Amino acid sequence: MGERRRAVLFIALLVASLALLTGQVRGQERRAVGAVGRSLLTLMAPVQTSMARVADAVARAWALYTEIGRLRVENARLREEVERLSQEAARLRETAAAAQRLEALLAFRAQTPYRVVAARVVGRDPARWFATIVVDRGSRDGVARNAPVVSGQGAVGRVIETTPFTARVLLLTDPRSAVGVVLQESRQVAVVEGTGESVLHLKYLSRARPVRVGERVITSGQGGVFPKGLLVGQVEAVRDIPGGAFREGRVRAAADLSRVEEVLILLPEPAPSPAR
Amino acid sequence: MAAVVAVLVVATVLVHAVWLVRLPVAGQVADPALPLVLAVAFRRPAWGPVVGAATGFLQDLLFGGSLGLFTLAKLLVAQGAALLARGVLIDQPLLPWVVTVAATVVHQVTVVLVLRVGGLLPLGPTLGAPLLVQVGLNLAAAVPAFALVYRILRPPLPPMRRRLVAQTAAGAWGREPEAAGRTAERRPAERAGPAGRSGGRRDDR
Repeated sequence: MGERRRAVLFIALLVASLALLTGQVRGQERRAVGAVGRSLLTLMAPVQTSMARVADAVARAWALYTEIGRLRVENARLREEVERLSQEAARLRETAAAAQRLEALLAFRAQTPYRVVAARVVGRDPARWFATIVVDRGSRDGVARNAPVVSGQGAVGRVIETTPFTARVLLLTDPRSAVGVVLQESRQVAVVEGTGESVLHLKYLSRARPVRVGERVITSGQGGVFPKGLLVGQVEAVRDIPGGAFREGRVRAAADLSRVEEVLILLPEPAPSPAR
Repeated sequence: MAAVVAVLVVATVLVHAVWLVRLPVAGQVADPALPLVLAVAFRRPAWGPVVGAATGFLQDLLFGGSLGLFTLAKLLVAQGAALLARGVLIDQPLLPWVVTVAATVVHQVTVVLVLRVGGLLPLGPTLGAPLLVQVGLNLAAAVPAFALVYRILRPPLPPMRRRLVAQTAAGAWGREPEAAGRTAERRPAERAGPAGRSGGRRDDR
């Protein structure tokens, strides 16, 4: 290959990669893999899933080998129970508070019931710049873009891309993630953004009402993605912005997003068929 | 041989995305695709940029970040390695390590720069300690990566040696010089010869 052809090839590849990057900035969707990418992902999905299962099996075997099996299982069951009850308590507290306000009551009544699909995490983002996971449920199971994803501890993220057998979930901690939230006690409406770290960035807090550290943060249901009342986390710190109209803070995510292994994907119930 | 390299690239990227991600060291994960791309670029400089871009694109697809981010970073390091392979004695034993360190730094800096431009840089430290850990992990990954690629892709003979072998083979077996040259190139006796191992400056492959 001549010097000139090599240079042309390199420049062509360089332009192509830059076009990929800038195409996303211009486009409405921040990440659109296209037909070629989707096909490649679909082809690799079975291998990826199989490899993840092998890794899961090895990890489980190792865990059973190194830990006292029965106590571990019992401990895990009790933890699940505590997490479930904690989630249940948060939901009940929220329901009780909502019952005192007509708007909230109406909003709850108007909430569409969700169908739930359980999924296992088969891939994570190795690059620390982004926080996404791949789960083993895809469009064949009814999973669609923007479907909310939760764990037993709270909200996890939302689906951003699907293949027939897998779906990619954008975690709350990803810098591209932003969720509308409500602080459960002070009823302040705010936005929680990902930071690339385990803590979330709480923005647009009003200066008018005090916020207690430790206060629970739940989804507001206003973004159109997450239903209202899902636990997001707890306020860790709040600070004033000098000269700013709002305050901001940090939220510790309720779900341990770096270790989540199984998740639930919420899907809207299919519309009832018209009565004859 | 290109198909073997393609399978190796896909397997490496999958191992990275599915297995190695479960074994983070100080928050960093080894990127075995980086030394793999470097090794391919050393052995076949003409393939380097294509293999680098394809590997980066696969990583972009599997990692869920911005498409083109790793394509660009891997393309740049592969092109650098290919240029180096044409210009210096690539059989020097220390060169893979030095180049892996340099490539890791260039790769990380490229990613950080692109993310900074896009406003997607995480809050935590991006260079410094994380980069040092990443360099160490990639050096560890370079051992199997270079060994595997060097086993699959033998160094091509220098042009003069190639012509000599072709003529000899044509005389011995009565074949066409080009075809006979290819056969002779694979003979163990020829591979073991000092000229066949020449680490001198090589022409384009």
